[in-house]
Amino acid sequence: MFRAISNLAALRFGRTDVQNHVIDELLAGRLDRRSFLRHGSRVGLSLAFMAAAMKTAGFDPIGSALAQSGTPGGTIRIALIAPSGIIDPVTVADQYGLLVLQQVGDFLVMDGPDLVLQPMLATEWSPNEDGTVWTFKLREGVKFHDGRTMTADDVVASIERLADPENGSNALSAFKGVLSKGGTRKVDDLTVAFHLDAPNGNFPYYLSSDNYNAIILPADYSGNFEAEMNATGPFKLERYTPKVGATFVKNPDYWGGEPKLDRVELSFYADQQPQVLALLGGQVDVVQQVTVQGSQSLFNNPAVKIIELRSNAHRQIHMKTQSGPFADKRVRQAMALTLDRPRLIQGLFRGMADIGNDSPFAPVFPSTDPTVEQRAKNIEKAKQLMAEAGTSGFDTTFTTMSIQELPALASLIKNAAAEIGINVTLKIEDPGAYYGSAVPGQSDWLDSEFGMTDYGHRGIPNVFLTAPLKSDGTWNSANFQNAEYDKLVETYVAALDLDTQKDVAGKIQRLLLDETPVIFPYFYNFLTATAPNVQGVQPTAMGQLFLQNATVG
Amino acid sequence: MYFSWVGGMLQGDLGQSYAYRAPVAPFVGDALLKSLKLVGVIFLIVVPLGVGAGVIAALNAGKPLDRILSVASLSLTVIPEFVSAIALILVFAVILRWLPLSASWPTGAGPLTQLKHLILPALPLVIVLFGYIARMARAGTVEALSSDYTRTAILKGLPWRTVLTRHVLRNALVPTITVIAAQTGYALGGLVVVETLFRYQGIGNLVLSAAKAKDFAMLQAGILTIGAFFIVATLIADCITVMLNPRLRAEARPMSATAETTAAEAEPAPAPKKERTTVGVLLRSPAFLVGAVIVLFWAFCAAFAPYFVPYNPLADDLLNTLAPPSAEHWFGTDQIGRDVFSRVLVGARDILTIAPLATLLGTTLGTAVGLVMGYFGGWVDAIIGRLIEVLLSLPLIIVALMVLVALGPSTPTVIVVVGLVFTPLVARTVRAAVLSERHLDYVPAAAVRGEGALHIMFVEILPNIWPPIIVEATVRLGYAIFTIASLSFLGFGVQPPSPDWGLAIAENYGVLVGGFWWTVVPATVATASLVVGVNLVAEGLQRAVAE
Repeated sequence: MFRAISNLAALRFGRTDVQNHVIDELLAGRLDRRSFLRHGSRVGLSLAFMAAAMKTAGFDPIGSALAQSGTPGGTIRIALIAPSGIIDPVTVADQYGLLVLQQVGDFLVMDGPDLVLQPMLATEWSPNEDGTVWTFKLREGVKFHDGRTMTADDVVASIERLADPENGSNALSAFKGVLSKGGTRKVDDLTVAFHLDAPNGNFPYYLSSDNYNAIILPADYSGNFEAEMNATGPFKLERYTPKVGATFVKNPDYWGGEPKLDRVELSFYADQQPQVLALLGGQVDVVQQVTVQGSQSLFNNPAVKIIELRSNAHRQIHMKTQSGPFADKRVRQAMALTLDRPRLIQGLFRGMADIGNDSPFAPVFPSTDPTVEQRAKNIEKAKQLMAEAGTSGFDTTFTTMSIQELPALASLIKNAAAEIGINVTLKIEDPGAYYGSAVPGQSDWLDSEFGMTDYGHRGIPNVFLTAPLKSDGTWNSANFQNAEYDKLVETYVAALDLDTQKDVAGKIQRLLLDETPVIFPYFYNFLTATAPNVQGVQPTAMGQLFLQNATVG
Repeated sequence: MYFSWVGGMLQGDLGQSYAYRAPVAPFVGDALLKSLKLVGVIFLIVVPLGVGAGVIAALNAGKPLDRILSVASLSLTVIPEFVSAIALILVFAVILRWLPLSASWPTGAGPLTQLKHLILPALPLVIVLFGYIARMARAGTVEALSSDYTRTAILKGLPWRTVLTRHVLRNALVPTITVIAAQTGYALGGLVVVETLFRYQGIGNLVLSAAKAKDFAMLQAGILTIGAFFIVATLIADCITVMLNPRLRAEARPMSATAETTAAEAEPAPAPKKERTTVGVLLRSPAFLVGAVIVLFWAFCAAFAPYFVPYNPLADDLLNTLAPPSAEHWFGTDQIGRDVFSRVLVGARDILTIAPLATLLGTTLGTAVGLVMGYFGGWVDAIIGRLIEVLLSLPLIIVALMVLVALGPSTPTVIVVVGLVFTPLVARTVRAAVLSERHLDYVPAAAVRGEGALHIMFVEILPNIWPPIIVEATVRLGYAIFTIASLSFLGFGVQPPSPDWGLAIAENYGVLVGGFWWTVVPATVATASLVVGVNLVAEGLQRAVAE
């Protein structure tokens, strides 16, 4: 033990206080292996360093997940839904366009499948004392596809482009209130400093693959991405045909080593069904994402491999908290108590989901406090709460979208609500009609008394905590107004160490469980389907597929 | 605002899409091109097939082959596209795996591959159109065979083959072409259903997704394009008709007969009056009885099924989802474990409430309008007649979609929309009946007695024209079921969790390919049986009235 500590003392040398705090927590046993990796990576400890630290603390070194046995060469054929607009890193806003970006481009940081940050174009990063300035060291000798070398100027230009409201940047939804135009500054050729709008303990996630627009482009990017796709990624553009597909060839000079595949072929489809058929028929090797609804034929099928990734993608069932029958929190609690969540997960997802506890803190987030009591179906208690609230039931309309399992869940909610006398009429509409203009008064999403919305996966819960739940949140369908909650969220966002985050998270979880403005029934896994001979594909729950180590056959 | 839109439109500017935040025109152009490909394939298959069957039936008029062809084409015509499509998908894509399920072909596919992908989506419309074309070709051929010029040609000693190709076919094809042109408009409407089922990005799909997303610029542009396409198709058909037979312009007799038929056939009519004699001979009472039994069975289910089905049709069972048929669940369970057998029986309820109400509304309004047109005649008749023609030029489904988008889907809206759409159709039939009554003695007699127009119309004439109205109402009921089931399937009819058939098919269609056929097939068979049953009854009534 003495030796371990003296080794660690050596390790600590030259680290910031925040980084040392993470090491302390590992030693004190407050961080398990996974959390240590995740938080160490967030504050800029390198994987090699953490492997050394964990060895010292008695953990196994990081297992090599990259060991491969497949044959190099060949073409991998990937099916995905057609991107909805032009492919431009600044404006891409869907799960399909981002897959194109990420084949040819790299991020400063990669948020891996287990939410552990890994170095990509940046090798290290660290915050100042209060988390308002983050400094990133860049990888040396990274080449763009046209042969030029990447420098801090390219990084500054790329991030500034995304932070500029003039550009119609899709990344603004992440950067707003975090990083403004002018906040990204070059320190030297291989160092960039980010001056934030407010303290942020999780800033590296904002520059990671989670912020899928943030691939690094040359400073003189022309704006015509579809024609060139000049970036630093493992594959180079061969041909892009809008609405049809794209082909890429390997980049032999890739900084991360030559990719094993020769080519990548993306084929765009209109829907999930034909993709599933194409996989079963051997016309494609990978389907980017499959949902349990509609691809039942893929499960328990020896001709298909399902890559299952825990995620925090979920459905939010909101109830208006300021007026109407749900204004009394006991009615909202009662409604939440009618759902049999383990059964929902079994019936709708074949068990491939995590249970939700009516807060955005999914089990997959390391800051989630697991000691908060799990809400379970209890009709008796629900009826009692209804009685205390002075109602024996009422009529209401439940509004949601006709996508994936939402209509099925809506029917289940109707049945569940009937058990405590709530008579629900379903209104199931097209996503376009549901979201409307996305402003109060012109959006069923924001205006409905009782409704359900889908939320995609995020690396950190910050957006889930603010937009749909803070008093001034722009997606606040529940009209939730709670000053104590708002303050807790601000504390959470600024917190630099996991202890504080976990402590605040617990308070938020308990507050939301009590108030229940939104029911979070489950967090469903991200599923990628491949042919059995495909190996080394590394998906993320954002929809990215990292292919530099992939092989077919 | 409106004028600037019209102005822009005339310059080819169709406006900005709300959903895509981009000009509409390229989307519409692209979609139209795809739909034209599909329509091309449809007509490529259906025209030779339909004309061939019609001619063969005519040459064998009155023989068993003729009867078989007539019954088959009639039954196929009345089955909604999504129902026949499900059957075709199941057979050719899921079981036999001969044809690809998806209409979208892979990157850079050649024309042959594209054709292969389009066959399955084309077939449901081929089935619907086959009946019309075959019937028109048969009627035209029969007429031509019995005409003076044919007799002359035969008497001249020309070989039978020459008579057939030179004289009979040429003349028989004229009305057929007009029908084909009229059906182009219908085909474009049917594309909404087919393109949705096969996920084909054509104009029908574009209109439907624009309607669902309330993307009005896109919707306007799509409907405008369909309307324009319909007009162009009609013009071309007129030109071809005249080219084939210049006498038509002067003679007007066959032409007017054709025009009348075309109007009556503007949407999927099984067999209105003009075939009264032949069809009446063909379909004797057994067919009527079978139809009546089917309809009564479903009516009984609609009324009482909730009291005797083994399970609550809405009760879920998440631990027993997608279970195959068993002793416990005769038709298996659906995606959230509901009993399919119970759902299918109770599912008759919505359609058998909405369709009769819509028919009642359409028949009542149509009768009133028809009485006014027929009784007053002159300019009243002319103006209303023109309006009706305009209304009928757009496919039924598209008119219904437009109104449902504006008002939002709800059961009363569906009833009113379908009822209103039927009004002009009923009015036309009633007008014809009134015209034949108006000059009978009792009408002027009543006028001489000093009775008012209202009294004469509703007290004197109406009781005498009941039979055609009842026949018309039954025929309309068949279409009401067809239309309302299609609307439910498209998501504009009954709302979940109703066990309605169209809705059940839409909800479970996605798992059909996975082999979970029992979630879809029972509702499909139920819809088909009900539509065929109602049409058999309508046929029987029609025949009875004719005799």
